[in-house]
Formats: sequence, structure tokens, C-alpha cells
Amino acid sequence: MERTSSGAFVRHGDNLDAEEGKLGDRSAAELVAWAAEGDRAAWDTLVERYTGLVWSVARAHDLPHPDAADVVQTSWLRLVENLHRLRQPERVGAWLASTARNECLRLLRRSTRERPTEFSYEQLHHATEQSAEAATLDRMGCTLVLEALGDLSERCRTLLRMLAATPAPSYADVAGALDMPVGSIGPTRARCLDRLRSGLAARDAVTGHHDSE
Amino acid sequence: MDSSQEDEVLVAELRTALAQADPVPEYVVAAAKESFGWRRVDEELAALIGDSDAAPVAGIRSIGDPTEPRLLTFEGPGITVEVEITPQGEKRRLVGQLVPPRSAQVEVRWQGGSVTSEADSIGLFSATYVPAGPVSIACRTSEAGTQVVTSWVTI
Repeated sequence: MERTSSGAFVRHGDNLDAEEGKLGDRSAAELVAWAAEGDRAAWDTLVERYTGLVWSVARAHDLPHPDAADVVQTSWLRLVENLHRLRQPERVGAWLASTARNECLRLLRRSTRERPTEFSYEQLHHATEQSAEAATLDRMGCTLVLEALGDLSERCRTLLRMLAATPAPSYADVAGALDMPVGSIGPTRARCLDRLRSGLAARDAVTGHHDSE
Repeated sequence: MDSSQEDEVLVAELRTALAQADPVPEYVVAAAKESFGWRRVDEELAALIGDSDAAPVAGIRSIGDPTEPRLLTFEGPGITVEVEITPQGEKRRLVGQLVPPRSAQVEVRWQGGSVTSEADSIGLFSATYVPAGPVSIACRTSEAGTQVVTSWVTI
């Protein structure tokens, strides 16, 4: 039995969402502690909060879907086995992203398979065609910004890819995952965005596309 | 707009574009939630302490020979599990060694299933046609009360 923050007792595994309503507001440390005690709803909230970031790490390393999915899954499995052991549970986002990054590097060292560049026009065209909101999206603009992202250095590509994950990660989580001082994330982000902007301007000039604004 | 506002707009644009072009697949989110089912409170963990695939210098990518075996070493309380992994078509062949040598019941687990094997008196075991992806090996020795499980790795 355990006590929810509102004081009620629930059995392990009971859906705390019904009790609490808003697990999404809970701190990472609380969610980790509850998950460690068997709270499935706390675990699900962690997954919803951080899978976007972990996926962005795998995709930033140009891993195709099946490999990226494996990396993400291994990272979550590692967390399951370490829930009780995390030294800094409030930094679970950084821990997950860092674990994913290490798995990516191991996987890449072994693979000699040809990897398509992350955002080939064909892939994007297909993806935006499939999207229900494609009609309302500036499809050309969406494609251009992702192609320009693909032109950046690995360092900038990885950083921006992670910062632009959904939900947006904290600078602390990104810094922890990339082994950078948290104070350097802001300035590095600014430099990388400048380069992205230059790349976009160059592509605009070539394609003759004009922003709608 | 000042430059920091411009930056925020660009990041937002990037976030929207990525959410459209490369959302996290539903099956990935579902599998991550299901991984909670692997939670155990009565097992000892053998952590990964050696991996021939680990990069010598962080961030440097080099291409390894995929036909060379991958060697993993896991260390748990009173036991070390060494595993050699070789490709077997699209799947993997595992040959393992328990140190110190001893017999044990061995179960190689992956997301969709598992295969049981036996480590002989010198601690040798093997498993074939293990699917690529996350894998963990559970060892139950005759004298120990609990199982030792190796930390999940992507093979």
C-alpha cells in the first residue's frame, strides 16, 4: 500500500490518474520514486514526458525506424531495472537521453549498412502527404527547415533535434545527455540556429520559395 | 523581432516540422509503457562493464567489422557473465560463459519471447536465433536463491 500526495491509500498498480488527475505536474523525482514502488501511472507519465527526447536522440544519429525503436526500448528497459538505483532521479531525462546516446554509438560502430540521410525529400514528402493536417501546413517550409537541419554539423543537428523534441526538454536534460555544461546550451543553441537560418536563406535563394509571412 | 525572439520562432518551427515529419511512432510509446512489466524486485542485476562495441573516445564513430564477434561482460554479485554475439542471418547467436564456472538455468529474454538453456558444469551456454533488439539473460544457479539478470542491451 502507498499513500498518494493527497493522503489517500492506493494499492500498487492502481491508476493514480483517477486519484490525482494531473500526474503530468509531478516532478521527475516523484514520478521515479512512485514508479520504483510499482506505480504504473507514474511510469506511463515518465514515458509520455521523455520518449520524445529519447526518440530525438536516436533519430539525430540517423538511425532508421527499427534501430531507433530498439534504442528507445533498451533505454526504457534500463530505466526499469535502475529505478531504485538512480543517484539523481530528478535528472532522469538526462539519464535516459544519455543511455540512448551510448546505445546509438555502440550500434553505429557495428553497422556498415548504408544509411539514407535523415531527411530525404522523398521521406518528408511521404510523411507530410500522410499527415491529416498537411493541407494547413506550409508543406514546402516544413520540408526546407528539415533539409537545412540535415546540412548542419552533427553537433548542431543533435543539439537542435533534441531541443526541438516534443515535449520540449529542459536545458538541464539536454546538457546532461550531451555532457555539456548547462550554461553552454543557450549560446550553442544560438550559434546553431544562426547556421540553420543561413542554410534556410541559401535554400530559399535556390528554390525561389518565399516564406508566407 | 530581436534575435532571441527570432530564435524562439525558429525552434518552434523546427518542433512543428519534426512533429509532423518524424513523430514518435505509437508502437514505440506503447512498448515503452509495457516495459514496466519487466520490473522485478527480487532479482540481482549484472551490469554491463565491458563491450567490444563501446567507442574508445566519446563521440568518435568508426565502422566495426560486423562479422567479428561482439564481446559483452556483465558483472553481478559473485558472478560474471561473458557473452559472445555473432550474426546468424538477421538474428544473433549467443555463446556465454559464467565465471566462476558453474552450472545454471539460463533464460535469454527479448521483447517478444525467450529461450531457455543450460549452462554446463564449466559454465558454458549458448542460444541461437535470438532476434536483434533488446536482450537480457537471466541465470539461476543451483545454490543461489535468486536470479541474476544482465542489464538490457541492444544486440
